[in-house]
Amino acid sequence: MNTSLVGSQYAFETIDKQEVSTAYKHNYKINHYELKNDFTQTIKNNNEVSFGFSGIYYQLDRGSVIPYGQQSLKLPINHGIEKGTEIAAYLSLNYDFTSWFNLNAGIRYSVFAPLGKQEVYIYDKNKAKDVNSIRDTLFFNNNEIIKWYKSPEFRFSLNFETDPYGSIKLAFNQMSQNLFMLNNTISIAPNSQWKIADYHIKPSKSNQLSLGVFRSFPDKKIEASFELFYKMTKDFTEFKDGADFLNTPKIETELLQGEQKAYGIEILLKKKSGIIDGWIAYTYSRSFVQVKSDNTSAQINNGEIYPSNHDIPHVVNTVINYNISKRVTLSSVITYQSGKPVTYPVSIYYLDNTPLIDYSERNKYRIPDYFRTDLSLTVEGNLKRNKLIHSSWMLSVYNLTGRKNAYSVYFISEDGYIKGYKYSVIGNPLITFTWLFKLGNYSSQ
Amino acid sequence: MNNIKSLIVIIIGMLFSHSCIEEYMPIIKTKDAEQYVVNGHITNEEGYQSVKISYSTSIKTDVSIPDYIPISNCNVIIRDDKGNSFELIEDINSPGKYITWIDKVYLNVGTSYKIDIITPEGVEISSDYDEMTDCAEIDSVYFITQDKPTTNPDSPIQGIQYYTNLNGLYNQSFYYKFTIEETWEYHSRHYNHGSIDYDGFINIIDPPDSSLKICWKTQIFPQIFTLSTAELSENKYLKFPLHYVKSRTGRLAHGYSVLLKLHSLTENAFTYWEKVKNNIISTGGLYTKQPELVKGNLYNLTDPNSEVLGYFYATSVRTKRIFTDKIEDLELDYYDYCLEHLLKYGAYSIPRSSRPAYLYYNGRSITLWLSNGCVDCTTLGGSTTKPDFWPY
Repeated sequence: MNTSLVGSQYAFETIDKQEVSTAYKHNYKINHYELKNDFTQTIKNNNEVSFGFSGIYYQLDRGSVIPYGQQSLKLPINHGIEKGTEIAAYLSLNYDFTSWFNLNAGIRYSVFAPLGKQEVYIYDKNKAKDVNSIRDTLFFNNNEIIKWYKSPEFRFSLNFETDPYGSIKLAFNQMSQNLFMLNNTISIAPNSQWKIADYHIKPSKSNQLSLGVFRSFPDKKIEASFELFYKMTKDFTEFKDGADFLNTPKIETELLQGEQKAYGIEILLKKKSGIIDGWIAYTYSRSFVQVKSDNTSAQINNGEIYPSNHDIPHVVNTVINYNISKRVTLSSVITYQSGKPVTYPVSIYYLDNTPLIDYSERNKYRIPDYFRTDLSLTVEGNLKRNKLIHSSWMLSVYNLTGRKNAYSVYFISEDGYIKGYKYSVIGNPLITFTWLFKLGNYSSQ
Repeated sequence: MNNIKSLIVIIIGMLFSHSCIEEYMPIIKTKDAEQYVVNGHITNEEGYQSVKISYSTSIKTDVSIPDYIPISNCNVIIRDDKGNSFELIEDINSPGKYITWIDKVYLNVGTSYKIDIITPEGVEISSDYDEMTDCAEIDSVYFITQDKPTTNPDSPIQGIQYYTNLNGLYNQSFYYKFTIEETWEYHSRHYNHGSIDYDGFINIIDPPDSSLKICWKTQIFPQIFTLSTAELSENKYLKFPLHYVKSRTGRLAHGYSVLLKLHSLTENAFTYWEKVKNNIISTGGLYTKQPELVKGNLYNLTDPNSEVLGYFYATSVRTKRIFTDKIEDLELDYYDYCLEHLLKYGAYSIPRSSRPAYLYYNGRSITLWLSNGCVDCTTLGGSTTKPDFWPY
């Protein structure tokens, strides 16, 4: 039996002072308390049954947007506090059919309830949720249950050991998510917000199927893996067209829920020892969203499928270590990623004498690709067995090529001039010199 | 229990970490940057109906007034749902503007209209039918002197805010769009005392000529105003905010007239204009909101994958004109676009490249070189013809 009690707090503050008159500060906090109880029972032949329950209590302070600086004209807005609880029970079975064939299967049943104190607006069902379609208001007292969301979740994985050097794994997972992050790819900084499922916004539910092949080649000191996955998510939350990211406390008027579909392959090659060791990983994955409705104002991208904010097709990561001697290692890290999808202004046109901007379809364009090389040289201290402290020196260069990788691309209009800008966080090589020490000798853990 | 791992990291090196912002203009596909734009409607007012056809233009960072590229030589037909069709002819004075006179008997509430266009390249563009709805009365148009805050709390912008009250009936449309046509009188600083031409010939006019001193300029206020009364218990609206006129423009100096046009819309047309409003170019970050993907009611039949921007709608119109003369409690402080240069060495010192140039003659000698805006009011875009509706 294993019981644990977890309490955590995550707090964040954003200050946007890009424009003096609209500068603001936004704080938010997530408190999370969890009580878990797990029991494991061994049945015959080392097979295991485990079961347990958990209770989670979320308290999310979505914070206030307050003007920053004396010249800011931003109106303060309080996004309020949201609370919710999740109670879940699970049962899982680990069963070895043979020495080379294993099954792990489980069911988890969870109920999630957003809790008061909350004022909930009821909107006209046939209209887009906005101020004009409010029909009623429901008042919930402190800790009163606003709504129940129940979700049974199944999962299984099958593991075949094909020979001592290889295995195949097939897995299916169901998940539901009650706490999620809302973000957009179009502002200067991602003024991301956390949100828990509420009266209007349902928890998202996903099904994921994956297949993995693992193989090692001991004579060449190489390990390889290959994984395929496909994931479907229902009630995936997105900002709708025209959504105001910060200024609306009633967030359901700014969001829509649709379907997300993601798939990909991951290939990993790893060399564990030798003069040159390291690994190379390549991922091709896609992620698309579709928000479709009979009501055209409850659609995104005219109801057509579009790349999600997280659609980054190509990702390459490599770490290569050149072990010059037992004490000296030269390492390099190379990272490449396709640019994030973004909605760009594409043209200007006039209607009724008024210049207007035409924007591309949602996420049709991409910010520039990300590429970075890091180099580091590590020199270990002496290799004496009996010593109190072992230390090492590391000289490293982050972003060796000084590439100004775009963190975001945004546009500003001043007196009719439209200017595009690229914002990069570290746009030049960053040199650090590190002294690392630990108790014990070189090989102690 | 795991061995206690004791790792302490001391970074001695220097951190040259900073973020950087640089100008960046993404490459936009030509198909997205150059699209057909149809700006037009059919109204219940007897007279010329007009439709403008143009291309959208790519975003350029070095121009503050984006290009307007009209498309000439289109074949344009407005059709109603009763089988009538009206061919539009290009206005010889205004390329890309197509006009036709439609008799009042064909302009009725309840009738639906559409537009069919064939461009000179043979591209066919067509709209959905849009029904002409009945329009509420404009009860009144009025203004209130109001300050607007700026980044400096001590010097707010001063000016006047216009408002309107509407009075509609239950069987009239609940969806509206406003057009504001503003006309103002303005004066050049000087009479025409004469000029020097390219060859150095000086023509003194004594007594000076006043024909270029007073102008009137009319323009559509470049902003989109929409209003829905659908969620209200009555088809009425009090104190709907229209446009704001700053004291730092010369518009309020010699008389200012506002012609408010109220257009009734169908719900679809209203939704379109509501969305378009979000994509207006305004000063500031363009991305404090998720941009709108706006879909109008026009289609490219030749290439269905190409968008056509704009919305062809039918509307009945009510108008109200008000005239604003002297405004109490508002101090005007504006620039009149006139530059005066003292001529120390006579009129011949004006370089040839700047001639012909206006001169100021004080009755005895030529003392000033005047920029065109000082003398000729038409240089600021107005006309010396007094509009019919001008009260004096």
